[in-house]
Amino acid sequence: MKILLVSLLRSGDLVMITPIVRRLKELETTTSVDLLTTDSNSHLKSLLPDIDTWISFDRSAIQSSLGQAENALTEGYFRIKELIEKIDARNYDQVINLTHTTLSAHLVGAFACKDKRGANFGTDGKIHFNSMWFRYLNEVADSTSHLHFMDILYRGCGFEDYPTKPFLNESSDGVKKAAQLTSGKLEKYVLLQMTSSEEKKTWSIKQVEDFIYRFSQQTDLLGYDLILPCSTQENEKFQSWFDQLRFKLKTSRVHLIPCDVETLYSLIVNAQLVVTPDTLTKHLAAAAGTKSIELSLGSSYFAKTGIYLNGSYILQPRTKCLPCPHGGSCQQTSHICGLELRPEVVVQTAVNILLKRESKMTELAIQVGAEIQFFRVSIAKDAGWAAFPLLPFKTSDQMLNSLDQICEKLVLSHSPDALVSPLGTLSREFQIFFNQLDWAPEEKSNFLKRCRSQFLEVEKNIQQLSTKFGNSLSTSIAKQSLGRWNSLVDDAMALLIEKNVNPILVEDLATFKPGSTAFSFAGVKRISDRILRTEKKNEFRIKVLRSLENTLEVGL
Amino acid sequence: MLEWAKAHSGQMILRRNGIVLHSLRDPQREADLWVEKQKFFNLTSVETLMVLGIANGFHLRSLQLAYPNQRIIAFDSCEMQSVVETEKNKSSKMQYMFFETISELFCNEEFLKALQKSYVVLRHPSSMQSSGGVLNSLDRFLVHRSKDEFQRFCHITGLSFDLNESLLPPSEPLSVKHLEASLSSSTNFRARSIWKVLRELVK
Repeated sequence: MKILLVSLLRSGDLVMITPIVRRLKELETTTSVDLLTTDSNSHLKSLLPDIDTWISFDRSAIQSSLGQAENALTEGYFRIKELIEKIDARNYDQVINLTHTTLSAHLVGAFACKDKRGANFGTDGKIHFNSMWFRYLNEVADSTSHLHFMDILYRGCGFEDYPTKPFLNESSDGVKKAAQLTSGKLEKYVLLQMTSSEEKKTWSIKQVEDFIYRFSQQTDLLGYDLILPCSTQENEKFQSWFDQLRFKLKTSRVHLIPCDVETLYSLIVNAQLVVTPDTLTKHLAAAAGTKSIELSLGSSYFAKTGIYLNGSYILQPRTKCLPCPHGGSCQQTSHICGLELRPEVVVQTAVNILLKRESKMTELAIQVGAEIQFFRVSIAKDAGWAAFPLLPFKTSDQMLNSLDQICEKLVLSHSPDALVSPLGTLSREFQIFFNQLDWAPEEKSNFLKRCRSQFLEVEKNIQQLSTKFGNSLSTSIAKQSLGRWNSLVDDAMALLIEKNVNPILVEDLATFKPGSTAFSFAGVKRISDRILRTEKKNEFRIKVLRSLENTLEVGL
Repeated sequence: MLEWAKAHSGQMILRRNGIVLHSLRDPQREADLWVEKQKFFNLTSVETLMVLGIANGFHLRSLQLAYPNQRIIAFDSCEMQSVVETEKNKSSKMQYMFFETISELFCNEEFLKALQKSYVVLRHPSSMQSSGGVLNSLDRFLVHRSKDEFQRFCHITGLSFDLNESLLPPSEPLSVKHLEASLSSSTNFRARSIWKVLRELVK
């Protein structure tokens, strides 16, 4: 089977699809796995030898041709047409779109291949997904989704487990260059990534200095060096600052190292710890299996793209505007989130990890808990990625959200053919977490009671809604065939849907409310699918709740 | 009117309508700098480089060296045909086309074929300036940024997008936005999808 993967986002996103490449290559039916990606990702080529053929989408050239009056208006058209023809000529058996953008859905829609997964527009002008997971990704892409993208994309490809981590191979050039740069002298070092694609995701230079100063004080005795990697362009910007800093700190243990991505990866492989606010660096660290601290600042949404490595830590300040939208600069008068994530806390976290004093981490999380949240990444083969807070939740709302997240995953994973449902693992994890809460037993019992009555009410409402919707649909179809319009959803039903099912369906609902004359079968399908999913999710919520009630009864 | 002038290096340089077509100081360096400037267009991923202006060909030879895999078609007015050494240092990937009015080019199959693939238009400034408008009219046709030129381009190349042409603005420059909108009810699914991709790229 010849497979083409389409990933048109950034380098970090490309690293996130590497478990898919690895799994596809393991399948006996797979003959080749090719990749269509933007030209700006070509620097990762040497780290991804599992890809048989790289096909470049010349995004920047096409984009600039469109805006320049001196370029032919059809230049971009022909460039894309030629790309599509090239792809069609390779006769792929399957194309998987791992990019949830309108652009990629149109592009993949235009390929001749019949078997497409992930967003693609059909000749009917409608978007198709061929997987519940990809549909889910589309529904929640811009909302406060709570499932990790790597889990969604991997499961969307049809695998019935979850990824363990990203996979990259060190390149011989990278190994050589990293060895030259460290001159074989640096044995134990920590790597701090200072920059990212968005400035608002990073610390200010002053805070970086503060981190370096505190880190040097703490780790000089322990014999750790600190590497600050940067690109060759950044090197010009940082060199004089760095020279002054080294002079001021009187240390030779800090190193500014300009390097390319393959060298950076080899440096990360040999590092004892990586501290990073940057998406690509954290995914490189996950692939290398190097312990990491992710600094979640600005537009970084760790629940979707957090570091995929068991035991890693994520530090996020409790700033209200977090996470902010992608692109643009920080809208606040000062970079509040950056300021609130104090370097001394990160240094302390790093030292705890380096000295293997992870038991001290909860102590630290309690000390600074008012400003900074600590999460520890946990990955289970049958449950995927989760980031559990080191401090138990303080409010029942947080607990409910977490339960919802688990159950959403269960619904998406649920397959009538699956022999084993991951319910056991997930609910066990949730039980452990619930037991760790420092709530009084009475408080816990009240929480469970409240959940029970809420879930039972949803169950009742959904059953009612399901029957009403079914009846209304048959009446509506019958009347429509007689040429008369009958509104499918009355106000009471609309309220039930809005309250119990999903606010995303508001647009669909508008088409069915009294007075509307449109009728969309796709809309009907979306509503009925969602009703079924909500029913299923509630069923899982009740099951998890029962297991929690049992643990409470036996006093675990 | 064509004349010859001698560069400092001793090379003979053409002068057309009073304009010297290459630098008299160092034509080769000027040509290399010109090629360097074209890098902005990312030329490696297009099929053809359409160069407006042949002159003495310094810039074409540099271009050929920098982009050996690209097909180069260089254009100039008929008067140049007698003075240009058409075969000197020219690879099979380079072609010269001479014309007086662009309709002459529409009979050239090679030209028509090249129009139906991706291409970038590169302009040799002194040739453009001295051509008396011949190269400029080809330039307008090749970039077809107005409704008339776009329609002419589609007609000549036989490209059919199934456009609703009434939605194209008659006077203002055409953009991807206009084309995408006028294709909304097109039956040509692939063309519609491609223009939608382009529209997303400029959003």
